[in-house]
Amino acid sequence: VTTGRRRALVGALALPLLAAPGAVAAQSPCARGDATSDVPRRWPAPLDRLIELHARDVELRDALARVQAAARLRLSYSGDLLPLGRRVCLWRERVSVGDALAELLAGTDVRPVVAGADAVVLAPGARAAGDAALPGMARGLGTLDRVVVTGSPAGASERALPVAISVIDGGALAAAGTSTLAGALDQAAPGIWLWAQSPSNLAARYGSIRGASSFGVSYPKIYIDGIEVANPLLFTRFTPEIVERIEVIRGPQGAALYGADAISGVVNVVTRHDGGAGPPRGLLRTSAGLSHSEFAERGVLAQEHSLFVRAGARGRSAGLAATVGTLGPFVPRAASEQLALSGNARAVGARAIVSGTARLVVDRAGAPTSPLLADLAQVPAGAPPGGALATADVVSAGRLASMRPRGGGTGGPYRAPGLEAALALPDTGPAQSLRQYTLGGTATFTPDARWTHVVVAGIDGYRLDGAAAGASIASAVDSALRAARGGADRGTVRVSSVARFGTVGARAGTLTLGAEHARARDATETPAAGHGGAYGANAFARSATWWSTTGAVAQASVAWRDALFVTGGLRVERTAGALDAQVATLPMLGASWVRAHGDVSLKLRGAYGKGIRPPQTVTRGATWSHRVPLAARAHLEPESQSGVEVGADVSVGRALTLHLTRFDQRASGLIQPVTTVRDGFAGGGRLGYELQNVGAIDNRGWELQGVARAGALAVTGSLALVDSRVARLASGYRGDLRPGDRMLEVPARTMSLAATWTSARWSTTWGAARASDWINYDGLALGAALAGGTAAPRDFVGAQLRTYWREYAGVTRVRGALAYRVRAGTSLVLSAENLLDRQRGEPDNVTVLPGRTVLAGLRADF
Amino acid sequence: VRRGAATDDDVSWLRGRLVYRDAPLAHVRADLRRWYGLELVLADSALAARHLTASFAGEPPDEVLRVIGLALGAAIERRGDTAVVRPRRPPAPAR
Repeated sequence: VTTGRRRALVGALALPLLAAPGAVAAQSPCARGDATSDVPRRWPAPLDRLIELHARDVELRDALARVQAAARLRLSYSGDLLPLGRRVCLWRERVSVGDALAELLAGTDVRPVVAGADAVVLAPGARAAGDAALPGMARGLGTLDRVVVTGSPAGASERALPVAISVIDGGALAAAGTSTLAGALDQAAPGIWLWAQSPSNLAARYGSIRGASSFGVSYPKIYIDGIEVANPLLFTRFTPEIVERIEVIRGPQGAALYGADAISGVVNVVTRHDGGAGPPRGLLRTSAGLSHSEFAERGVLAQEHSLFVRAGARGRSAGLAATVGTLGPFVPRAASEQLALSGNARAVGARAIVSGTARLVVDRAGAPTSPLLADLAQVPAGAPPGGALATADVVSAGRLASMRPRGGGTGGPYRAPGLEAALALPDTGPAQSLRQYTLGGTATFTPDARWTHVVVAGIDGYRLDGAAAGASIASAVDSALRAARGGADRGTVRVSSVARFGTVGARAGTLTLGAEHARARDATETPAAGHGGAYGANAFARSATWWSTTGAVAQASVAWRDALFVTGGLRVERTAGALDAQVATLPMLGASWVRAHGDVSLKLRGAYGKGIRPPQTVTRGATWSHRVPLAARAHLEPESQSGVEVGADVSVGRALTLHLTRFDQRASGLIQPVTTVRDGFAGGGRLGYELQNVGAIDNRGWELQGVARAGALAVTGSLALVDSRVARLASGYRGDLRPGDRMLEVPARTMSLAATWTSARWSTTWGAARASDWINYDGLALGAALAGGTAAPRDFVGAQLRTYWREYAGVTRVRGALAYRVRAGTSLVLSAENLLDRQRGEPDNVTVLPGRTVLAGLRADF
Repeated sequence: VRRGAATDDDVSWLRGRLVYRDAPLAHVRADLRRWYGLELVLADSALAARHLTASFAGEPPDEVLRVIGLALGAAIERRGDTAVVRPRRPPAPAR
C-alpha cells in the first residue's frame, strides 16, 4: 500500500510537469522525457512492451506512427481530438509503450486504453475518479461493455442487464473444435450441465439447468437468430465456424421477453452475418481420425469435413456452409452420419437492414442398445418376447420412463446385442433419421436516433423417424425422443419497437413494446386407441394438432449516470390449441449498479422472474402425450418456475473477470403422472395414469465463472453448486420420490477449466469439465432384475424403485485442440475428445459413449 | 503484421482487414455497413465531422464498435444491427 501511495504521489507530482508540454518543448524538446524517466509505472499488456524510440522534433502524428511500428501495435484514435500537428520529441533507448504514449499525449485528456492483445485506443475523456491515484493505469475494456442480444429486445450493453448471462464466443468454439452443445455449455455456462452424448443419440439430455424444473425432462428454450427451434431437445450440434456467439440465460428471468417455455432459461445461437468486399472467399476444414472403443475390435473411423464460402459487396453479403461428418460403430449399430447445410444473406439499406438465415441438418444413425446390458439379456433366440413382464412403464417421478425387458421397442424381433456382435450380423442400416430445418429473417428499421423497429419471422421444424429407444432401460429423454417421432413445425412472427430517451451518462431510458404470434403444428405420433401406456406397441397414429401462442411484451429500463439501471417488464401470453385457451402473466424486475475505479469495475445485480411451460408443447407432449389422451389433460395448468438471482461481476481491465451468482428458484405446479394400478394387474395388466399440477421442486445454488488473461495465455473456469430437491408431491403420488429427496440426475457440483495459448504460429486449447455427486438409477441392477424374469411389475413401481437408486461419484471430460500455421492461410489441426477414454459413468452405468477420439486435419483459406 | 494468428485465422479470413488513416467517419460508416451490416446512427452532428485512424483485423463487430466509441469519446449503444453513437457526456451539465 505504501508503495502504491508513493507511486501515486510521484505520479501526481509528475503530472504538472507533463501538463505543459508546449512550453517545455520550446526550450528543450527532449528534456521532458528524461525528467520522467525514473517514474516507476506498471502498464498492462501490450502497453508494457519496451521499444526504442528516436523521434526528435516530429509531428505527434508521426511519433504515434513510429510507436505503432516499433511496438507492433494497432493504435486507434480520432485525429480531431489530438494535436496531431504538434511537434514532439522523445528520444529513448528503452521505454515502455505506455510511458511513451503518456509523454506524447501529455497535456491532452486523451489516454491509452487497452483494447486487445495488440490494440490500443487513444481515448478522450477517460478520466475517472480513481485516476489521480493511479496516473499510469490505463482503463481496459471489461465484459461489462460487451453487447448482447439475449435479455434485451434489440441488443444492449451487458452493463445494464440485471441477469447473469453467459456469452460463448464462436471464434473460441472454432479454435477448440467444439461442435456439440454439450461441449459448449458445460465448458462455459455455469449452472447448465448437458450430459455428453454420442451422435447416435439424437436428443439432448440436460442434467441440470440450475437444477431440474420438471419431473419429466428439463430443457431451455432455444433460438437460432431469434427463431425458436420447434423441439429444443433435438438441437445438439452446430458448426462452430458459422456461429458468432451463443448467449445463455439460465433462470426464468428471460421469460418476460421470450415467453412460454422459457421456464429453464434461454439459449440464443447467433450466426455470423459478416461479409467482406471483394471476390468470394472460402475456408476448407477437413479432419479424420480414430475413435477408440472397448466395445469395438479396433478404433472406428471418425471424420468431419466442412466448406465455407462468403462474398459481399456494396451492402450485401451472403455465405454458405456445408459440413459432413461420420462416426463408426463404437458399439454395434451405433454408426452415425450428419450433413449440415446453412446459408445466410444480408442487405443493408440507408435505414433498414434485412438478413435471412437458413439451415438444414440431416442425421442418420443406427439404433444401438447398451452393450453393458448384453450380458444380462441372454435370451434364447426365438424365445417369445414378454415372459413375466412384456413392458413395464415405470412410475416416472424421477428420470426413468420405462423399461423394456426382453421385448423389442422399435419393431422387429429383439436380439441380445452381445449375441448379435458375436455372430457379426451386419448392421441393418440407419434406423434413426432426423431432419431439421430453419428458415427465417430479421428486418431492422432505424428511422431516427430514437426508434428502432425489429421484425423477426421464421419457421423451424423437424422430421424424425425410427428413433431408437436408447438403452433397454429408457430414460425420460429416451421417452421424449421416441414420442417425438413424426414431426413438428413452428412458425413465429415477432415485432418489437424500442425507443430511447435521455442522454447516456446522465439520465436515460428505454421503452420496448412488442408482440409475437407463433403457430405450431405437432404431427408427432400418438398411440392408437387402446394402446395407451404400452411402449411395446407399435400401433401409432399420426395426426396433426395445432396450437398457437400470442404474446404482448412491455419493458422499460431506466439508467442513471450510466451506473444505476432498473428494468421492469411484463409479458402477457395466451396459448390456445387442443387444450382450453390459457392466459399467463410473466413479470420480470431487476436492477444493477455499476461502479468503476480505475481499471476495476464492479457490478451488482439482482432480478426476479417467472416463467411458464404450457402443458402441451412439442417437447412436453413427448413426455406425456403417448400415455394420456388429450381430453384427460384439459384441466391442466401450465407449470411455472419463479425466483430471484443476485450476483456480482468484477472485472480488472482485460486481465481478470469474475461473475458470481446466487439463485433461489421454485418450480411449481409441476405436472406429475400419478400412477394407478388397474384391476387385473397381477395378471399382466397395465398401469394407469392421471396427470395433476401438484409437484414442486426447489432449486438453489451458486454459480462462479472467471476469465484470466496474461499475454498469450487465457484461462477460463467455472463452478456451480446446485441443490435441487423435491418440495411437494401429489397426495396420491405413488412414484419413487419423496419430499426432501434430491432430484435424480442433477449433479451437485459441476466445474470446468480451460486454457488457451496463442503464438504467431501455434495455438492450443485444453479444457476439462467435471460433474460430480448425483443420484440416478442403477441401470445394471435394474437390467439384471428385469432380465431375471422373476420380478413382478410391482417390484418396479413406486418406492420399490428406490432400492435401485445409487450415488454416482463423478465424471470428468478432457479435450484439447492444437493448431500450427504452416503458412499464411494454412494450418494443421489436431483435436482430441474424451482424452481420459471414459466410455461409461454418465449419467448412469448403462449409457456408453465414444471413447478417446483423435482427429488430425487441415484448415485452409482460399 | 498480426500476432496470435492461428486463432485469428479462424475468423479473419472472412472479415479481411479494415485500415483507416484519418478517415472521415462517413467512410467508416460505409464500411461498417458493407462489412458487418451495421448501421451507425450519429446522434450528434459534431460526431459526424470526426476523423478516425484505426485498423481492424478480424475483430467481431462489438469489438470494432467499442474501439470506435473509445476513440471518439462517445457511447455506442447497439440495438441489433444498429449502433447509435452519442457523446459520452451531456454537452452541458444538467442545471
